[in-house]
Amino acid sequence: MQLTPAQHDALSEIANIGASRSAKQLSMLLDDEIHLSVPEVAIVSVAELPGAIGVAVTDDVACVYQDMSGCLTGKARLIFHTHESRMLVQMLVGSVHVLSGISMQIYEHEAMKELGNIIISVCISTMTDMLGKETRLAIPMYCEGVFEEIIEEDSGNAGVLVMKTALTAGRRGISGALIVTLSLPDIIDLLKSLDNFLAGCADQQETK
Amino acid sequence: MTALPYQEIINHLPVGVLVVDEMRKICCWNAWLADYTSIDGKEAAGRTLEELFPGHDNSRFAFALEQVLKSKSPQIMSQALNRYLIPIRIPNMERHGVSMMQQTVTLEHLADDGGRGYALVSIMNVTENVVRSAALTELAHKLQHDSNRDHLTMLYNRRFMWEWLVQQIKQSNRHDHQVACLMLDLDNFKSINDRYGHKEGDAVLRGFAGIVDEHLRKSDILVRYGGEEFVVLMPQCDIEAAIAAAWRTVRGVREAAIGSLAPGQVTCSIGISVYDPGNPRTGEELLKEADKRLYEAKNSGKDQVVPGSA
Amino acid sequence: MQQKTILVVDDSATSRLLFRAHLPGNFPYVVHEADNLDGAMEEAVSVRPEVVVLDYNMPGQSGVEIARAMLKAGINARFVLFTANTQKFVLDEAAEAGFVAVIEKPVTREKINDMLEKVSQCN
Repeated sequence: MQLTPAQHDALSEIANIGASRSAKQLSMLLDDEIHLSVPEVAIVSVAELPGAIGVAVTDDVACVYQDMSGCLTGKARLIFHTHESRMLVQMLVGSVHVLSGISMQIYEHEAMKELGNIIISVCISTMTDMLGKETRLAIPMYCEGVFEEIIEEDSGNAGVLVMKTALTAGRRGISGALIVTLSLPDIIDLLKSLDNFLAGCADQQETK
Repeated sequence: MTALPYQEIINHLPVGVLVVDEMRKICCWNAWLADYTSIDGKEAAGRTLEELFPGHDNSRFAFALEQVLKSKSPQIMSQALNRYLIPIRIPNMERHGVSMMQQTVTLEHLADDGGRGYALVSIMNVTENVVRSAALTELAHKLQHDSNRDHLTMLYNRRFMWEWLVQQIKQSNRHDHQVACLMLDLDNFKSINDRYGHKEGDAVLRGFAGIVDEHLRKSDILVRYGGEEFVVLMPQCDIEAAIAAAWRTVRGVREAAIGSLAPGQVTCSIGISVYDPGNPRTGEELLKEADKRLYEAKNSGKDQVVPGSA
Repeated sequence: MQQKTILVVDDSATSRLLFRAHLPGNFPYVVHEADNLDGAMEEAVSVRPEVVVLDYNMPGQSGVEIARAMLKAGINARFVLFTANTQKFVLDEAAEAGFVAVIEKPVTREKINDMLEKVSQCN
């Protein structure tokens, strides 16, 4: 599904505002400079998803996800390559002792869940606030696995809003993606909201 | 179902339950919290958490509350990143290095009949998990330390080397072949550490070990002997072969980019000795001679090999 | 009398549109726009704005770097940072470069009014 240049620009700006706000919160939590931006946005089909986010279906990924309901129904997922996310979390959580073979899994999962929750909830709420779409997020969950298995449940009759993320913390950069799987009607609805949003701004401008 | 005594249930839950309204004032404070904080429900009602625990930094909680109350978005505060929300001292855990209860906190949105919003805060005591993880980490460390490997480079350590050498000398005597011993030392390593930092120093050590390894045979063993000292033991190897291998190594190290340093910035010196069954000596003596040759190499300009007399 | 101008520099057309859409009535400046360093310098030199509003995260140079380039080129405007990234290190960087105000995205009429006040306090 192609975004018009205006829709693309608006979505990109909204996503980046969400990303910056998440970064601010992360920086307070982690007491460090955090850079988080969304360099690319797109709407793709489930089949196009691996190519769009640079993750092969056989790659091992770490995923924080939250179900969405309300005006936008679907699933929001924050995805990173497993080894990258592990490095990030270990660095952030200050695990000085990196033990090969013995992973302090639960400890890391918890931290990753919180980081992912902050990014997802702030980005999604920024988007829904600015576009006026009431949406509820369920509690965050964490899982690891092969990418193919993670998105297996997404039916072919869905569209995916892709927001690629670039996160830098403590001089270590990690790239990932925030993807929101929605039904096609919801995607169309979202695009309409974008158009309304832009039209609204244009109107506001003209009445001066 | 008959009307359940919800207040009873809340007060019997093994987790802390706290509800705040849109003004951040507490309107529910269960028995678990009262027991652990010695603050009862009446005292807590109508106050904010900041008022109950002044001086305790709650900025993460404040943000989480905003997300929950404004956007109805659930939030979690992990123990890993936050340690705890409610400061609760637990004296009997001190010997495990933990003095405050470690907590995982989740926040969710609630609404009453009038549509007013609240944040339901659930506080779980995860201190035991944390202590257990810490104990496991310590145990794993000890195991790694006691094993045969050097932690940083994953090369063999001294303990392993002595055991191996004892066996190797026996073999050498039995089958009449020689064992070469190379003692390697990174040149000017202290100044590398001083100039580029210890992280780079560690990277250089690992990189150096990798390069040395490339010039060895499968039967050779590479040992981290000291801070920047390494030993290579080569079974069934005479002095000529040892010298050749040593010079190849010196050259290889000099020509390689190691860590983030350019080729030529890292060099090493090597001293050689050979164990000959015709002239038996102990492993210690073998290493001592290699060490002496290494010392000579260092004093002759470094970046070179000095062999011993076979 | 020539009207005073404000130059808004942001690579996002949406962001510039949002800024215009939230201008208070009787906004005392004529708004000009640019979406990159070169365009911004060109506009600034030709229009001589009183105020330059700069987005922080832009491809190429950051808003602070553009402000520095403008100062060097002799553009003596009041600089305002326009960003959602209001972490301490960003605010410190802006303060150091002489920015007089920060508008935190998303923009509102109130925030623009606050900015106007801060700018007038400087004059």
